[in-house]
Amino acid sequence: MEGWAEAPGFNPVVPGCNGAVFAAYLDTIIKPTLVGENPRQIDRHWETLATGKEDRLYMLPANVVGVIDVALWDLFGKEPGQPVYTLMGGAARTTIPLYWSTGSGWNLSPEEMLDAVRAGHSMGFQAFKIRMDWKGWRQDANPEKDYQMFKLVREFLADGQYLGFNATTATRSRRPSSRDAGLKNWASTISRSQSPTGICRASSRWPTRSTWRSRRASRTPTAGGSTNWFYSVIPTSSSPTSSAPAGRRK
Amino acid sequence: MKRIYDLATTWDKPVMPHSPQAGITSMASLHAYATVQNAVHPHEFSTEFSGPLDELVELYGEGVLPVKGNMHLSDRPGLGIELNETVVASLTV
Repeated sequence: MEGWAEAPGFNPVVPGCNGAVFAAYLDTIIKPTLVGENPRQIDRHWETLATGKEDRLYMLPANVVGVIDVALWDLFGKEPGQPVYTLMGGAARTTIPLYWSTGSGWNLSPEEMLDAVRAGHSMGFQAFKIRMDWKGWRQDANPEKDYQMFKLVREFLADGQYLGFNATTATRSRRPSSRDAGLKNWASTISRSQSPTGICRASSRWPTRSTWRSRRASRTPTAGGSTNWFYSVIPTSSSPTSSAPAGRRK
Repeated sequence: MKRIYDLATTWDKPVMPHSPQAGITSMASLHAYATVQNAVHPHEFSTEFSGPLDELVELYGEGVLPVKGNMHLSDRPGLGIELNETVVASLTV
């Protein structure tokens, strides 16, 4: 019986991403930790890899833990011959509407982004999102171009067809950052450019500390601040050695 | 994801997962999302990080292919992937 997942590997879209890092985690931590264990203990294995177990603290990155988790769920379903959604408690629906997501907006012209959106539109998609994929240091310093990109796509789509704007970032800082500055610039641009067609209604007073509060200021679904690090979502107030037995603490 | 969904369901908050790719990881996300009673938003789908759809279908089977902007989850075991071992072997480095 096998379970399958996709691990980080070579990707021409993401230069520098290769399988060597994942292979190192696999050989040095995951195999020594999990080989011989019961594969049905999915949540226990997730906790072990994402946090730790007994006196060992692992805290592996989410994109490493997730690979193992997905493979274990696939395996878990194959043994009894059931789909994963059934083993997770049952599907509320088995037909799920999708939205077509296209990124790297910071590196595209508005026309190039529109072409990417057209590709999904020709496949019958009814909902869309365009991602700027700004990193924490905000590669794109041209919010006017971002707005023109958004406007071009919005005008291409029909009324009622969903369009979201994702100012994807990778910052993990809780302090005001370039992410917030980028969103503020974008929002200011939109505010200056509000059109009678109501393409977007954004407040010129864009909060700099909370992306979620910012989102409420706009009629356009806007996202930002996504992060890939477990230590941003799991409380890390404990010291790295706090899970060790008292006698071993230093 | 399950833990987040459970929390959102408890407080009747809508959820919208981030999953910008197609293939096994996308199917795993869709299986989890399918179990959320109050999931009213569409699920993300992108081929940017996973390659052209025709190559994915050859590798994983028709189950990973959306139809008119919808994904239909089968009742096949596990994540419903029909892995083509021949293609896997050809891609092995």
